[in-house]
Amino acid sequence: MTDALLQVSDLTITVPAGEYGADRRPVVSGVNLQIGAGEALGLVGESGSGKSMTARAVMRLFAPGVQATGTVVFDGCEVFAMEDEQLRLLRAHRIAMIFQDPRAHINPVRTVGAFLIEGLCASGVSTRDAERRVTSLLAEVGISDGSRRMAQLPHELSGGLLQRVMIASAVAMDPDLLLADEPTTALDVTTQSEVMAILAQLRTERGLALLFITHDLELAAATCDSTAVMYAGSIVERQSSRQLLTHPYHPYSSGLMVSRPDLDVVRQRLPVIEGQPIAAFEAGEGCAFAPRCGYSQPACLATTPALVAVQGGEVACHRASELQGQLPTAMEGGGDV
Amino acid sequence: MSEPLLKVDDLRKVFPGRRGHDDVVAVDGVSFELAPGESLAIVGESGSGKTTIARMLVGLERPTSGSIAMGGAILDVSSRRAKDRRARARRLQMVFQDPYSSLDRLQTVEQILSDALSLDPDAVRESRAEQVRILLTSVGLHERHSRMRPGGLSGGQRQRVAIARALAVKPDVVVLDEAVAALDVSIQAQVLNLLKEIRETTGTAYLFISHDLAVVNQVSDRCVVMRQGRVVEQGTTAEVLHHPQDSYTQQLRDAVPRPGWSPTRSAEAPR
Amino acid sequence: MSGVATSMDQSSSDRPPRRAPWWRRVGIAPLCAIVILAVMILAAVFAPLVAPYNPNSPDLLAALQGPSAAHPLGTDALGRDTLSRLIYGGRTTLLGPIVVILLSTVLGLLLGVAAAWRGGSIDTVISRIVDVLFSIPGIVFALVTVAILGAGLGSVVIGLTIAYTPYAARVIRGGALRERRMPYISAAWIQGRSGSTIARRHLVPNIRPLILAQAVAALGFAVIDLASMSFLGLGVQPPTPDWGLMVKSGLDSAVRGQPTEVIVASVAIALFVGAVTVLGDRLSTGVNK
Ligand SMILES: Nc1ncnc2c1ncn2[C@@H]1O[C@H](COP(=O)(O)OP(=O)(O)OP(=O)(O)O)[C@@H](O)[C@H]1O
Ligand SMILES: Nc1ncnc2c1ncn2[C@@H]1O[C@H](COP(=O)(O)OP(=O)(O)O)[C@@H](O)[C@H]1O
Ligand code: SF4
Ligand SMILES: [Mg+2]
Ligand SMILES: [Mg+2]
Repeated sequence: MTDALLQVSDLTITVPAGEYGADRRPVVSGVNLQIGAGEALGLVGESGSGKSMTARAVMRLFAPGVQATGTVVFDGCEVFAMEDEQLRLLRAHRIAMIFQDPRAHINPVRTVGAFLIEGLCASGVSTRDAERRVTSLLAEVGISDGSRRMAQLPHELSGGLLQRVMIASAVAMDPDLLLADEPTTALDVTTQSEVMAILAQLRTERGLALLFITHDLELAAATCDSTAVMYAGSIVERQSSRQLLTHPYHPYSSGLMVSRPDLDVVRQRLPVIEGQPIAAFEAGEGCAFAPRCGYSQPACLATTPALVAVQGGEVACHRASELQGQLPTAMEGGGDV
Repeated sequence: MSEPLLKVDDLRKVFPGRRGHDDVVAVDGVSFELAPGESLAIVGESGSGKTTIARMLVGLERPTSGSIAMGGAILDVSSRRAKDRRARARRLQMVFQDPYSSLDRLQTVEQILSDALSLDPDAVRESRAEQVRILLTSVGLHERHSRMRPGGLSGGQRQRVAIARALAVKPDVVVLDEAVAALDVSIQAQVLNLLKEIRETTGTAYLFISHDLAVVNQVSDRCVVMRQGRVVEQGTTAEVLHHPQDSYTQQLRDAVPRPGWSPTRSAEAPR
Repeated sequence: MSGVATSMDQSSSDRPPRRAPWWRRVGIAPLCAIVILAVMILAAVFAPLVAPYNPNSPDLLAALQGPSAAHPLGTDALGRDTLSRLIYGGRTTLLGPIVVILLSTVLGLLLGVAAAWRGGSIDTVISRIVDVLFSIPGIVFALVTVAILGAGLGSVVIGLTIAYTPYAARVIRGGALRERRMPYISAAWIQGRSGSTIARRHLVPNIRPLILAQAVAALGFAVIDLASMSFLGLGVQPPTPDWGLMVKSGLDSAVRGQPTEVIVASVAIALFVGAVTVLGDRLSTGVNK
């Protein structure tokens, strides 16, 4: 399997524990991922499960003090072993990233146009050409009055518009892979639908591969080829999206699915995953999900379930084969009606 | 039909335009009624004027025209006097979208809640700690949370504190402005269940503001669909969801992700 | 094979990193600043205990000496011990500016918060007055009060307090305006809290870091302004020891071939101002985080 565009193997990320000293705590542990050229992978999990850290590792974008081990191979090159110049080229031309809060990632006192053309100009395109390219890019993301918008400042644009601008800027250099870290979480559902449609269109037109991060399993499953579910810093299930929706293997995936309210069914109580999500270092012995799992048994606490291949995907749950086909899904509605 | 608890009539709000820009008509002739114990949703995309309505109801914004009546009496929404605001707060409360900024990060949960409890002039001071404990339990938190500050709580826990603060004086109506939008799907479900349970046990009426029709379906009896400051449709949630009269309602419905869903782009220019 | 990637980038993370030990968090330069300020202030407070000589007892036989074992920093034109004068001088040199900053911060807080909270015409009036005062150099106010009340530390302190209040008011008004828009303030308002309660219980505590940062930043300027006034002969009057006065008398000594006093006094002022500036910078970056 060396032909994947991105291959993440055994990725573990640690941060310093507490005040000082050499103690470190894991926030991502042993993650394996792969994305083929033009493919879309959804990465789903609750807050703090390590989704953003995983995405940042792909570009080696870490805050001070953060350390990562394992390998990230992008198009045959090892990202963690790259020289600075190689890394700069990777970030400028091959991999792009968009974020949940576009406002935090754009200079508030420069115009949208200046922000958009700077990358192109830095790589030697003339200002005239850059402006022309950016205008057509803006049209691609649904901003038809591009030249007017380019003269505006970021705060004059709504969140949805600004996210489109970020997408335009991300694809301006024609990258092969786009890392999208909860790009729609701050948007309303209508705008979310538009942004997802734009991403889908860019993917088909440009053959762009996508790592799409969200906490909404159904959104990921509806828009990505396959979906990986993360809990406490580890991947607990990965399947083709279609199959995940109908045949989840892991109780957590099922729980995420059925806790989303439905358009057609009103439930007396939404089936919830009780308790709080935890980070990797907070996980106890055995299965990290056990304290919140409705199917946990004493055996679950004894050993940590490994991610094993099952038909159509991978799952890390001791009872996966036993529970197969019994876990509630969004399709049939999880609880009393 | 029984007397409405809250009656909003032809409410309008115009914000003066900034230098060289036109005035913004944020809310344009909105009318609706809320019965005691009812849960009414206001749905619409962002910018449709939902928050502006909420802010006018609780007195954070002065309506340009129109009236708001509670229990048959017109609310004097323009009064800024603390006494009048307190009187209103005893009947009408609000929960904000962002639990990170709607709590004072320097206060402990106990201080936040006992401040809210002190609104009730008859409250006995001695039992304040006990009241805080009861309040915390009612929103699914533990006594040990009372000494913590918002920084030490998760998003879902903070929103529970904000809900507890709104419920402290047993108001007739709570306005919830996108109160679950900032939460993870799984935590959102917990809070939605909590809200439902509270309404069942206390009979508090909700004005539930959201952009997500699926969420609205779970918590509201009736809904008002808004677009660009106007009501485009209103009726029972089931009616509106299953037989939408307006194409905009259909658009809102189509935007909700579900199995088999695919995202669509509207023909209109984004705003 | 497996590579190890460590923190290569200063990129912004979604979350603040784990807390480092406090001295690491404070930083080396601010830490030095704290030590310098602490030494200066402690020396001034405990001057009678640490000063080797009476700062005002002349010894004409030992006038204009360079550093020696008896007088580590030499003596001035009247043979007074420079080290002792430096230590005692810290009292007037530092006390004046501290009083100026305390008073102007309290006044600025009242004006700034009132303007931000009440808004409308009250804000307009306060802001206009502040803008006008702000455009006049601080030293002018001190000159005017000296002209009216006569030379002396008291009149200079009053003048500079008037001069520094607009600065504090402007910074605090800006911070209060930003804070005022936060939903937790709206929440308190909805709960029927009075304006003054909200300001006292919520607004001011939440902008406290900003208030502190502006006060420290202004302190450095106040030291320079006060020393200048003393240097001009309008502030502290001889023979009271004062760093500004020492620069003045030290200049004369330097002309007569003994530069130690002017160097010592200038360095003391520069160190104090530098330390205060570093600390102020550190405090305000803490605020912006
Ligand atoms: N720079 C850092 N130093 C220390 N810990 C960190 C750092 N950045 C993140 N963490 C911790 O790592 C864990 C995973 O964080 P991450 O941001 O990847 O989560 P996430 O799944 O993206 O969550 P969210 O949905 O909230 O964005 C969390 O427990 C977080 O507190
Ligand atoms: N203080 C204000 N000044 C000017 N315009 C405002 C102000 N508050 C809201 N608006 C405008 O009013 C409209 C409705 O906003 P809002 O009520 O916040 O919508 P929603 O809550 O439905 O997203 C928007 O166009 C918004 O830009
Ligand atoms: S291993 Fe056990 S506790 Fe963990 S998810 Fe599977 S059933 Fe639940
Ligand atoms: Mg994240
Ligand atoms: Mg809103």
